[in-house]
Amino acid sequence: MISFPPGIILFLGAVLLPLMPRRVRSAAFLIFPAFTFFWLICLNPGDSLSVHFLDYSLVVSRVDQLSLCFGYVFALITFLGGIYGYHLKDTAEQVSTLFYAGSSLGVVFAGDLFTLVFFWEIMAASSVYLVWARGTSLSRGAGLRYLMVHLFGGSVLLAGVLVQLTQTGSMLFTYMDGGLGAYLIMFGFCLNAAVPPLHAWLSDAYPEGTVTGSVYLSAFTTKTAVYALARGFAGWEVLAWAGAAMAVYGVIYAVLENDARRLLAYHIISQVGYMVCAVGIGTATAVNGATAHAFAHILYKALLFMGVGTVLYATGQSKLTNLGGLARAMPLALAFYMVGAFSISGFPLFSGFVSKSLVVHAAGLSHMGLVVLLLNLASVGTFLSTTLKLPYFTWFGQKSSVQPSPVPPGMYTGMALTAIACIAIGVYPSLLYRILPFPVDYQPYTAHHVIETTQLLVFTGLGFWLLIHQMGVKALISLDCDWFYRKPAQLAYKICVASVSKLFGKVEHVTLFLTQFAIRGSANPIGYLLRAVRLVEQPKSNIIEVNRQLQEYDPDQYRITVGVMALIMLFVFIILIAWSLLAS
Amino acid sequence: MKFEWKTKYTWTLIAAIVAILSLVADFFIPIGGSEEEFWWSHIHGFFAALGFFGCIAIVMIAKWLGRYWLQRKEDYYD
Repeated sequence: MISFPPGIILFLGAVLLPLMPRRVRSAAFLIFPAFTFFWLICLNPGDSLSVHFLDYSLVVSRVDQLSLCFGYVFALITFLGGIYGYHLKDTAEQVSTLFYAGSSLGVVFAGDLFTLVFFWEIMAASSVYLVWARGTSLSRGAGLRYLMVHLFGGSVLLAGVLVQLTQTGSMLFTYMDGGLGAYLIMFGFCLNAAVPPLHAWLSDAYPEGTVTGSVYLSAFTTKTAVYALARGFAGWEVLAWAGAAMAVYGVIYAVLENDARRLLAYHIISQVGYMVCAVGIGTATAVNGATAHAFAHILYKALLFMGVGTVLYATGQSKLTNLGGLARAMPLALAFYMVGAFSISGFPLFSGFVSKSLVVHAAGLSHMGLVVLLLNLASVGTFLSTTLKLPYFTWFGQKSSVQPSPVPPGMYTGMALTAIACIAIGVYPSLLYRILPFPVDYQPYTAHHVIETTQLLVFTGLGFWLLIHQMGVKALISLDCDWFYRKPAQLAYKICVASVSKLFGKVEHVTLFLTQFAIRGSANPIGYLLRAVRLVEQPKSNIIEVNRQLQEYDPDQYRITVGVMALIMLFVFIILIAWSLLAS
Repeated sequence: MKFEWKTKYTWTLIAAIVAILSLVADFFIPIGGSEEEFWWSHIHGFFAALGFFGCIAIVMIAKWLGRYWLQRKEDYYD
């Protein structure tokens, strides 16, 4: 069957939305992802659409179970985010969200590399508005850095695609087995997957996004990259180790973090580490694990960002040092946040339990003991920061002076529906398992696994309880890899902008002085001449006096009198008359 | 205040009971026969130890890195 790229519906929505009456825009926003979701359900693996462009045949849409699974969750989260952001009045934000979601769908259904790069770049350009829409100076800076990094990544990706095309002659996006083109493409994918040291754009920009924008940001960019890695690089062992390291990297930074949304951003890096690791393992179980974890992660991470976003909306604060004791004032936000937190920690009966364990199970089957230990360690850190530290310092702990303002009901509705999705997947894992790319032969709810997880989490809680005084956060920031472009940027600014501007200033000053000299000199040449003469005649101490005399310039001082002028004119007249008389 | 103390106490009690139960139950679960066996598969309470010491290690390492290397004032980049 022919299938148009499903992202087209959302693009259509982005074009139509501004044409609709303002009061129906939030409701209309929901129609497009809902329609996309139903369309995706109607698609069958094997459907595709090819078009001819120049000398190439582009597969603009290719449907298989891997892309469908990502497609379902992208449409779902766009819908849930639309409910959460129902109160939104910023049409530009809604439009860029639809473009962002549409291009993410475009990437996961792209059958060739050109189509992929095309949607990849739209993703970067449309998502940056979700950061800029916050309107603060911090968000402007972070958004610009985000855009620059992604344009760089996109350029490397495009370079890789061109090299790949010349090397293999094929543009189809399938498994890649090495060569310069493949390495460059992997670099581009890894940048979007936030694999350290290419990750700093994420923890830099996501916390500066708008309340609703960060919900979408947490869902799309990194997960399209996970999809792309799963499609092109499954089984590259380097990714397994990079992913495991990344899972631990994120949790270490999260322990230090004071900004609640930046803490969650570091946990995106950590959780995407599980997925990248699973892609690196590359077996059918592992790719299933990566896909399942991406699916579950999009939902619970969005829920976490919604929970913290609600606090930010109500109090204007997202720093833990400025929050505390909000449990009585915002109990619903706490309850929904905790569903997300239990899910990300992999508590039994919550979504993370059934997806994360599939990844760890795949690592176990491949006998990668160290990877299993690192992933479990990352689980410890995740529980510690997102489920214990963040809620403790936001809703419990020392009461802060902030007074929360009322929160729109749409935000709570969005959170409630997302929470239901998280619990549904945790309780009925088959809901998720049956849409995965490969058949699943795994049962997460074994006595052994439940007991292991319970031990891991409860004793982490004990550790937290003992170290609670150590856990107190300070109003500090942590240096990360963005240092490498933020600090040199200041130096580059000094060298390339500030010093050049200073030189310009000096030259302008000298030019103005010379011009002034020339103007004065030509307006009063005799005066300047006299000044030179007087300076020779008189002692130097009188320079000021000479200057004063010069400044009190009287235009009549050296002007010839009217009588002399009349005499000259008369003289010229006489000469002319005499000349004409003689000539005749 | 009394209510909050009571809630805290209840949660601590529940956590303690779950902790003890999970440790005790570990001894009644047959080990082996699984495809994924590692050196720790035969150690009872290994995951409890991993959770506890892992938590302490993560906090200590992070705090040490933060204090001596990573953490700066909020206006560092301004």
